[in-house]
Amino acid sequence: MNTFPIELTALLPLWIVVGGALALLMLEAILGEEGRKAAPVLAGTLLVLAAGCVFHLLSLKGMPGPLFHGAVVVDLYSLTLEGICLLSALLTCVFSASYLRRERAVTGEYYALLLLAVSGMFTLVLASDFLTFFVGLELMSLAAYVLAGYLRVQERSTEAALKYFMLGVFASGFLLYGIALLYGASGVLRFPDLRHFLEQGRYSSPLVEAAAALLVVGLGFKAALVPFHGWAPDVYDGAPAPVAALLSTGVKTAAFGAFTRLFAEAFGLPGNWVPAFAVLAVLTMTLGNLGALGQESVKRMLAYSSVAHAGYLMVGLSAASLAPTDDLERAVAFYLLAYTLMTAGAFGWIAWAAGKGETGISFEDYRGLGLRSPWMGLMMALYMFSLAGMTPTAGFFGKYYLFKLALDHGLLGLVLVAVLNSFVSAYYYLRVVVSLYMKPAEGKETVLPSPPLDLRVAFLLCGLGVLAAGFLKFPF
Amino acid sequence: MNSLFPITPAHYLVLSALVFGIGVAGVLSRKNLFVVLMSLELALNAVNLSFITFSRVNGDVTGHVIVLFVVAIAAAEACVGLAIVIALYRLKETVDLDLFKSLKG
Repeated sequence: MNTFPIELTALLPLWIVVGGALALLMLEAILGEEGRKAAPVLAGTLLVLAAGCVFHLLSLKGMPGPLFHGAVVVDLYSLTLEGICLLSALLTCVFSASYLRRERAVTGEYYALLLLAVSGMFTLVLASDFLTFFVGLELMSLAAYVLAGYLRVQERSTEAALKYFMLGVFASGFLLYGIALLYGASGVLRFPDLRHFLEQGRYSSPLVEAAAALLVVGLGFKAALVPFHGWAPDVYDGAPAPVAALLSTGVKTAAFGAFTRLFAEAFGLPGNWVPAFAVLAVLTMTLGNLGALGQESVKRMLAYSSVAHAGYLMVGLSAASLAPTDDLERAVAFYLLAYTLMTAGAFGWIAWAAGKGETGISFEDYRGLGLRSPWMGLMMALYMFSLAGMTPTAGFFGKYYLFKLALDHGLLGLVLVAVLNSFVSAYYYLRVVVSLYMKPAEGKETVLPSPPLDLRVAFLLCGLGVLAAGFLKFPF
Repeated sequence: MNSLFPITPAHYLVLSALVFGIGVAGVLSRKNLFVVLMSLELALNAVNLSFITFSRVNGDVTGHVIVLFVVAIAAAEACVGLAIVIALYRLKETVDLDLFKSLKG
């Protein structure tokens, strides 16, 4: 018999991460040098433990559903997103250890901040009312601002933190104003209540429409959609590479996943929002890809590619009011999983292959590297093939599900633009592969140092995940 | 006096919208980091005023509770923001936004 209250057991991953973050903060203060050395191991262990809980909850027959009077909801969607956030955090944790040693910036609070960011992500993806949603978003963002500026003696890192912070708070302001107007119009905060209220149709529509517009602007900033994307390339480029991996995968997964729930379950957007979302999708894909085309730094190319991938996700979200909620959430969650595997892998690869201070991360620096370091080269090539959407990889299946969803609901033109964009993006992803394998090195023939065991496991996990994810049975 | 010049919830909402607008304009146009930080706070607090007003109009306390949360979050945000400004000032000895441009392209 289960004697614990369901509130405790169903949210166990969250409790582990929150408790772990607070413990890690104290660890270095109490144990000093030893605590600092133990921090990455402890953080990794806690994340694995939380992942175990998530898998156990996923394997249960019935889902706990709404808890705490509807403030959070534990269902397959939120648990899947929790799993993806944990994957992203675990990979970041592994990538960070060697990176921070090289940059001589090892501290215990880095891992405490990482776990705090994860607890924010959990709160966000579990949220089923606007207050939980906002608190989760802020908890995640505040930790992320600090992580982006973690290398505080480097101008680039600190500047990235400033840009991220200012635009993030600015976006929160819009989002909060939207929530205030919705609250004013309806008097409710829970997603199902709001849906019920809107379906009854007795409301002053200018207030609700203004609120919807403000929420879309908030989403636009947080998910880096064109024309609100200005900060994203700079932040992902300036932040330390492992942090960029977390920001572009875990943080984005939580934000996009939660917004999808918000629009699909709370808002039930009326049909006239399809064009607005479609325009955002087209702009985001096209400008993201165009920005990535001209880059010389692979890290900055990935930053723009992250913008473009938000555009592909918007293609799916455009069908939010047409498609059944389950189908939409499944397609979005699978895409986020595929995207996390390939993007986190690529950023981690850059973090390992770079020199001190992140030198040597341009296309030119990788010339012939794939022939000299075959295993590492193969991994990067896999991530790039997947990002480009080549057939057997997760990137292909992710795009397939999203585009099929849009196609099934009559958005043919949008899908055509998206497919054309995928072709364009193949150019700059394959340019990395060409650099790795088909161009002889000029001058010194560098060989990548062989990565330690934990890094090898992480790269292999991303590589195999990219190959296998499309064939796995998805939990829902 | 009340009957001569009644203050309705609409007045509060208009005030809130105006203050929010001032905050947004400040963020977009000012170059001094501290003024930008203050403008961000202004925008958040304008929203608080809306929440309180709607809470009174709707006759439940949820709006008041949200305001308490938002005040706490805004305080945490101010901490992080000022810390970032201090870190930048130590590197560049300036708080002029236009001078931070090492990230481009």
